[in-house]
Amino acid sequence: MAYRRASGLVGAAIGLAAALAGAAAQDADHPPDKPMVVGSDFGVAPWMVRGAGGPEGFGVELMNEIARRLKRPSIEIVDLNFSGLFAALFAKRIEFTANPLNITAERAERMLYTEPFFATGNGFIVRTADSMSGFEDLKGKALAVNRGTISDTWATANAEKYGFEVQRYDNFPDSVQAVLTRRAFTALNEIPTTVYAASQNKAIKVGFKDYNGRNFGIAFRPESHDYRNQVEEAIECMKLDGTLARLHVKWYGAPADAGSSLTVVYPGYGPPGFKGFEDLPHTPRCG
Amino acid sequence: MDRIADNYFNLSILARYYPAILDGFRVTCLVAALVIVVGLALGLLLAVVRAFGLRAINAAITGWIDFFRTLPQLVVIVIIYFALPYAGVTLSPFIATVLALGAVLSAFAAEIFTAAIRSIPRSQWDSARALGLGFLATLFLVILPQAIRIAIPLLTNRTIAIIKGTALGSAVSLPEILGSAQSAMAIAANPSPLTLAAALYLLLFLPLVIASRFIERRFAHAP
Repeated sequence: MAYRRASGLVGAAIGLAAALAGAAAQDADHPPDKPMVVGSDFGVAPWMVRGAGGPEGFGVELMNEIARRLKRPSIEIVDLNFSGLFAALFAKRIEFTANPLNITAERAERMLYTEPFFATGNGFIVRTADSMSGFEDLKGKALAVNRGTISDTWATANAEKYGFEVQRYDNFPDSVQAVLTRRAFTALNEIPTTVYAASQNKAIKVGFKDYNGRNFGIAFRPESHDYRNQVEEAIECMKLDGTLARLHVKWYGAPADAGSSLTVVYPGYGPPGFKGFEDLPHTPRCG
Repeated sequence: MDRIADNYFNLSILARYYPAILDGFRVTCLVAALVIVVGLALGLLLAVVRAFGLRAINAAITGWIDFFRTLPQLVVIVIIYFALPYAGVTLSPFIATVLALGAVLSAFAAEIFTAAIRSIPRSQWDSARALGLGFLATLFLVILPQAIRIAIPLLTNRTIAIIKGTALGSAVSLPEILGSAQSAMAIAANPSPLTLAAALYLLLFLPLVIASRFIERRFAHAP
């Protein structure tokens, strides 16, 4: 498996060039005989981290499995900072996102999502000696986030309400480092990410978990409509045959909660309740 | 063309996020101004002290210059921000960025000032001393005014190159233009904020570039 590093700025610049050059035919954006190219931040353990032989984690196995089911010969995962992810997607540097990516109404306006397949929420990392029992504990403190993520959105929207200061970093490890060096009281990220980080480092713990009904999905360019449906069926098959549940146990060390989006197959294509959802009942072709 | 307009010049997205990016613009301007003041003042000071030719002090100054000329700016910023807290010094992103870039600029400025001072012919020193001026009077009244004039074209270029490094402050959560734009870009899933950021950089640096050309010309033609 190959991987390379690209910055969001480069992605955006090339995107402009690509857009100016004119859109190529749709199928050419995901040629069946070429490696499947997807993008993710490599700093989100255990979803995707740098290993000895390239990236590894839940997301890597998920993407490999999708590629196998789509009969693509191989896969290439591009390392992108989260803030550059969408620019790279629109620039056609990647076919779709491989990040743990929240489905939100604002993003659904510009991208096509698959149905939800992973439940999440706000996880607050604090130093082991500190404690946090609710949002009120944030008053007068600094909160570190990974720039541009849903955590950034949440923090920006709630900074005034709960009276905290937002520090934005380029990646999750830097935001944890800010907590370790006492620059920030807490680092906010996805619950699964924070739980795993806390299990790896005795100096920190997850002080507070706020499951708020959010879910991860995979995002596509708006014109990749048929391709989205194809990938969605692959995901539905992985829910039905237990592949996702097995991967969850392998990487997160515990089974997912019963009835979570990890095992529930939703009718139609796309995320119910968001733009881009298609109410087309179907039976996934699992081959 | 519609896709370009939607992705890079989306007015509704820009309308929503421009206040945050303008805040970033203010931060960038302030950091840039402070870096120029700190960097050039410290650089000149180092060059003047160096002119005294005290061996131990000069070794230390050379060490400072080589250190900050060698390290990439981003490395200096990250070290000051993330490593110093372990030594008990915790600086804000703002101060850390100003100090890091100021130190880098001081290193280059000191080297440029030193070279300019050394380029003044030996005969100038000798003539001034023969007229009865002391070492300090010679340095400040005769040598430095000429040296600074020689240094200016080199300094303006180097200064502009280094203050562009303010964008690196986004790595340590400094809410400057680029950081604010990237944040907005990811939240809105649309790169239009980046277009605005680029426009603001032009707005900041174009006058600087033009002003530097003006200063260079003015000093070149001075009597």
